Amino acid sequence: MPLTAALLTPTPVLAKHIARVLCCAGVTPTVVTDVAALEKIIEGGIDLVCLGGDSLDHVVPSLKKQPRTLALVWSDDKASRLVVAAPALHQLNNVFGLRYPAAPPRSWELLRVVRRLTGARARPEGYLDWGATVHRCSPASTAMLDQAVAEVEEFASSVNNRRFGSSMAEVAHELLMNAMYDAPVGPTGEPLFAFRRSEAIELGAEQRPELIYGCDGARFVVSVADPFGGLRREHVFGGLARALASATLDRSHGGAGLGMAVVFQATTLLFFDVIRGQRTEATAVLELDVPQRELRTLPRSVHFFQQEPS
Amino acid sequence: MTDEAVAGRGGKLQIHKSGQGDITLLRFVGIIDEGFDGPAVAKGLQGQLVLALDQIRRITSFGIRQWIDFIGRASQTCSAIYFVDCAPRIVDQFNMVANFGGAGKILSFQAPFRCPKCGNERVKLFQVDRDHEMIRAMELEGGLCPNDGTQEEFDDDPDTYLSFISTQPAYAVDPQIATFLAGRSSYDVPEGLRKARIEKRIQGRYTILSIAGDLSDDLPERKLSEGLEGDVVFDLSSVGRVTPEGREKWRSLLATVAPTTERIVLLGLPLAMLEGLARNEDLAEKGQALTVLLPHMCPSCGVTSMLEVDVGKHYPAIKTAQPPELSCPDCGAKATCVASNAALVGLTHLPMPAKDLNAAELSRMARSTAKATQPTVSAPVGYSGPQAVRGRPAWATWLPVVLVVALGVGAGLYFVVRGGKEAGPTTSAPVVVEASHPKAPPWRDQTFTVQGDQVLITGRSDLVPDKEQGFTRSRAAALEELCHQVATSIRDPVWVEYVGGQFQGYRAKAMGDLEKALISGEPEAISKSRRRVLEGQAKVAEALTKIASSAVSAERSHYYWEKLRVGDTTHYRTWSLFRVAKAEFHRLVQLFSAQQEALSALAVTFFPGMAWRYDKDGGAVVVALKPDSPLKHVGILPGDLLLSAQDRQVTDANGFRKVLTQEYEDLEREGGTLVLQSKRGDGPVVAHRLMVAKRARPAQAPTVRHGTPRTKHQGTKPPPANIWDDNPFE
Repeated sequence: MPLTAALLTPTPVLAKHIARVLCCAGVTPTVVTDVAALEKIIEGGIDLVCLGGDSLDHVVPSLKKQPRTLALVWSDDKASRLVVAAPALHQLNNVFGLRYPAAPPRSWELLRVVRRLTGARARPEGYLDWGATVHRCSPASTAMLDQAVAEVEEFASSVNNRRFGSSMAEVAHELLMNAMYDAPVGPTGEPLFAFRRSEAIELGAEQRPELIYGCDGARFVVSVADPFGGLRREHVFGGLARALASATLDRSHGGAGLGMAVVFQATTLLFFDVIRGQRTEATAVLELDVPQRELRTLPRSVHFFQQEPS
Repeated sequence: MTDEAVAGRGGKLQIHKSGQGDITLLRFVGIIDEGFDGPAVAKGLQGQLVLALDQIRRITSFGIRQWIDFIGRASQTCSAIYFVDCAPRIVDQFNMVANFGGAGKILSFQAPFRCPKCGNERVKLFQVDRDHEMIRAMELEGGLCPNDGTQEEFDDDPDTYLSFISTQPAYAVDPQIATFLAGRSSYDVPEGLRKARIEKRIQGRYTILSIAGDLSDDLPERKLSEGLEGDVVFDLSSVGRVTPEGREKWRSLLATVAPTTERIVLLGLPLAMLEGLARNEDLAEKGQALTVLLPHMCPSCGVTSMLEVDVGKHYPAIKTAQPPELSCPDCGAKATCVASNAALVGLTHLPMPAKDLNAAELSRMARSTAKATQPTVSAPVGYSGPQAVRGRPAWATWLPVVLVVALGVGAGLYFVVRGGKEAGPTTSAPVVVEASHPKAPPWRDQTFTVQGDQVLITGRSDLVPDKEQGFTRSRAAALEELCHQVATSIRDPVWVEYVGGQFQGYRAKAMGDLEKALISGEPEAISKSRRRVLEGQAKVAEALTKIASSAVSAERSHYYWEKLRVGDTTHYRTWSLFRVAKAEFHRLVQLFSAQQEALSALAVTFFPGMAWRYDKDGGAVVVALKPDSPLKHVGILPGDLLLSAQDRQVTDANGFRKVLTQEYEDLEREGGTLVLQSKRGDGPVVAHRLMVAKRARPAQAPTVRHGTPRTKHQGTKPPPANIWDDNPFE
C-alpha cells in the first residue's frame, strides 16, 4: 500500500520542487501552506509529514497523538537543534540539513529517504553516481581493521588531500570499531568484545563487518555494515544530542557518543539503516565540493531507518 | 639531547621523550587510539611538561578517552603543561572535547591555508604569544602561495577553529621553556636562544664547560679555548642539534685545546656526535667520554627516552657495540637501546675512561653548578630576570631582535645580548604578521659567513614603515659590513695605522652608542644613536659603490622581509644578502691596500669606511713620505687625505699617482705652482702651494710659498738610501 504524505511549505516554488521529488519516490503529497491545515491532516491519519524545522513545534502535539506518523524535517540551523530534539520525539528519524538557507532538501537525499520509507532498500554504492570507484573489504581482525583504515586514508588522501584522508580514516575507524567491538553479541545478547577495546580480536566469518568506501568525485562515502542489527535509535540520537547539547564532548555516560560525534563532525550526511537482529548499516557521506571552512557550520543530515526482520 | 625516532607499541604511536632540567618533552608521532595507555605514559611525569603534537595523524574516540586520562594525571603531577605545534586534528579536539588540554596551555598550533587560485594547501604555524592579536581578532593571516604567489586563505571556519585557542589569555612564554623549545620544535624563538650557550665554572681541578643549545657554526670556539688548561670537562647533555659546521667547530675547538690541557672529559655525548664519531677529530688525542646519551625504548610504557650511559661501567659491552639494557626511569621496566647502527659503531671508538674519573660525581658537579645559575638565557647584559622591563612580559623584552654581541667576559664566556627597545617609545613587542618566505632563510642572522668560494654578507634594516626603505637600509648595512670585513682583512701596519685608525674608532663608537642606548631604553638616545649608525652605513655603502663598483658587484642576491605589527602600527624589517666571490673579496682588499707612488710619497685609495668620519667618498690617503718628497715640504703628513691637484680631483690611489705626476711634470716645463688640497682628521680642507721649478735648472728642492712648514730641515737634506729608514726629518 502506498504511503500517504503531506507537505507543508508556504513557498509555491519550494512546494513544487519537493512534491516532484516525492512523486518520483512513489509518494504523492498533499501540499498545504499553513500549520492548521497540516494539523488537521495529521489528526485524520497520515504516514508522512514533510515540513521545515520552524513549523515542527506547532505540529508536535498533533504528532504525539498519531504515533505512526513520521516526520521528515529540514532545517538550515547550524546548531543542529533538530538532532538534539530528536530523542524526545520518536517520529523524528529523518533530519535534513539544508546546504543553503531557504533551499529545498537535496533531491537525491530526499528521494532516497522517501523510497527507503516505502520499504525499498539499496546498496551503499547507490549513494555514488555510476562510474564511481568503490572499494570493499571485510576485516576479520584488529590488524585487518587497521589495514582497512589505512587504505581508506590513502584513498581519501589521493582523491582530495591528507587532511581529508585523515578525517575519513577517523570515520572509518569509528564505524569499524563499533561494528567489530560493540556490535557482536553472544547467543543471549551479551556483548563479546565491547569491554575489550584495547585487545586484538579475531572475528568469525559470520561476525565480520563489511566496509564499503568510494568516491564519484562529488561525494565520498564510507559505509560499514555488521550482521548483528543491534544499533538502536537512542544510540544514534542520544549520543549526538549529548554531544551537541553541551557544545563540547565529555566523558559523561562513560564517553558514549564520542565516536558518533567524531563521525558527525567529519561528514555532511549520516544514514543508519537497521534490520533488527540482522544487519546494521552505517553510512557517512561527505560532499567534496563543500569548502572546509563551510563544512564546519554546514547543517548536518541524520537519517535513521529501522525495520523488523521479515 | 637528541630525539631518536623509534617505533613504539604496535607501531601506531611513537612517543619520543627528551628533557633538560625539570622540563620534559614528549613528542607523539602516529595514531592515538585504543592502544595508547595514557595513565602508564603519565606515570612519573613531573616538573614542566611540553607535549609536541604536530605529528599525530589521528586520534580516535577511544584514544580521546585515554588522552583525557593521561592529561588528567599529568595535570596533577606536573607544575605546568604546554602544547606545541598542535596539528589541525588536535586543534579540533581542543575545540570539541571538554578538558582535552587539562591544565595545559597551547603555545603554538598549525592552521590550514589554501591558495584560492591553484588550490594548494598547507599549514602555517602560529604562536599564541606572538600572534595573539590575530587570534583574538579571529583573522589568521596566511602567506603567499609558493606556486603562484597568491595570498593564501584560511581554510577553515575561524570562529570554530579558534574557539578554544581564542579563549586563552595573552601570556608570555617562560624564557626557560622558550630556550628549551629552540631546536626541538617549530617554535619560533629568538635566534640567540638557539645559539650555543656556555657556562664555565672552575671546580677544584676541573674546568667545567656546560654547553646548551645547538652546536652550529656560531660556536665561539676561539673564545672557548682561551685559558683552558688542566682537566677540562665538557658537559654536552643539553646540546640540541649538531650541524656539520658545528661539528667542524667542535673539532677545531678540541684541536686547539688539546695541547694546553691534561685531559678532556666529555659528559652526555649526544647521539648526533656519536653517529659518525671520528676518534681523532671528535675526541682529539686527550678526549674521553665518560657518559653518552642513547635512546632507550620501554616496552612497558611505550616511551622512548634518552638515557645517560656510563661508559666506564659498561665498557666491555660498549666496545663491542653492545649497548647496555637500562631501567626505564618512569616504570622501572627493562628498556632496550634503540640507537642506530651508526651510533653503535660510534661507541666502539670510545676509549676507556681513566679510572679516577667518576662519571656520577662529575655529572653532579657540572649540572649542579649549571642549575644554580640557571643560565637559560646566559645572563644577558641588561637583563635582570623576568621582570626586567616593568609592564612588559619578559618574553617581549627579547622579541625585538636588536643586536647580537659577542663579548669576551672573564675566561671567554659567550653572552648573547638582545635588547628589547628597538621600536623606541613603542611599548608592544613586534609581532610578525607576514613574511616574504614561509621560513626565515638560514642566512638571516649570519652577518658574515664564508661558504665555499664565496663570502656571504647579510644586512638587516631596523623597523621601517615601508619595504623599500628597509631594503635601502639593509643593503647599506650589508655593504658597510663588507667594508668592515675588508678592513679587518688588511694587515699592512701602515694601512692599519693611517687608514684604519682614522675611522674604526668612530664606527665602534657609533655601534657601541646604539647598543648602550638600546640597553638603557632611552628613546631619545636610541633615536639619536640609531640615526648616527644609519647615516654611517649609508655613507659607507655609497662610497663603496662609487669607488669599487668595478671590483665587486653590489647587487643583492637574496632578500627576506617580515611585516611586523608593533602596537597599532605596521612596520617592516628587511634583510639583504650579498654574495661576493672570494676572488672579488680579495680584489677589494687589494684595491684598498695597494699603494701608489707620486712625488716620492705613497698613498692608498680612500677607504669607504672612512665615510663614518668624513663627508667624502674619494681621495687618496697618504701613508708614507720619502724624505725628499716635495709633499712633505708643503706640510702633508701620513694620514692626510689628498683630494685634488690643480683642481683635478684625486679619487683614488691611481689618481694620486697619475694626477700628481702629470701635473708636476707639466709644471716642470715652465715652472709654476702646484696647488694641492688635502684634509687632515676633522680639520678643514687645506690648500698647499708647491713651487715647481723649470726642469732645465739643476734639480733642487722646491720651496714652499704657502702653508706652514712642519720641519726645519725642509728641502735641504738629501734623501736617505732606504725610504723605510727612520725619517731623519721627523
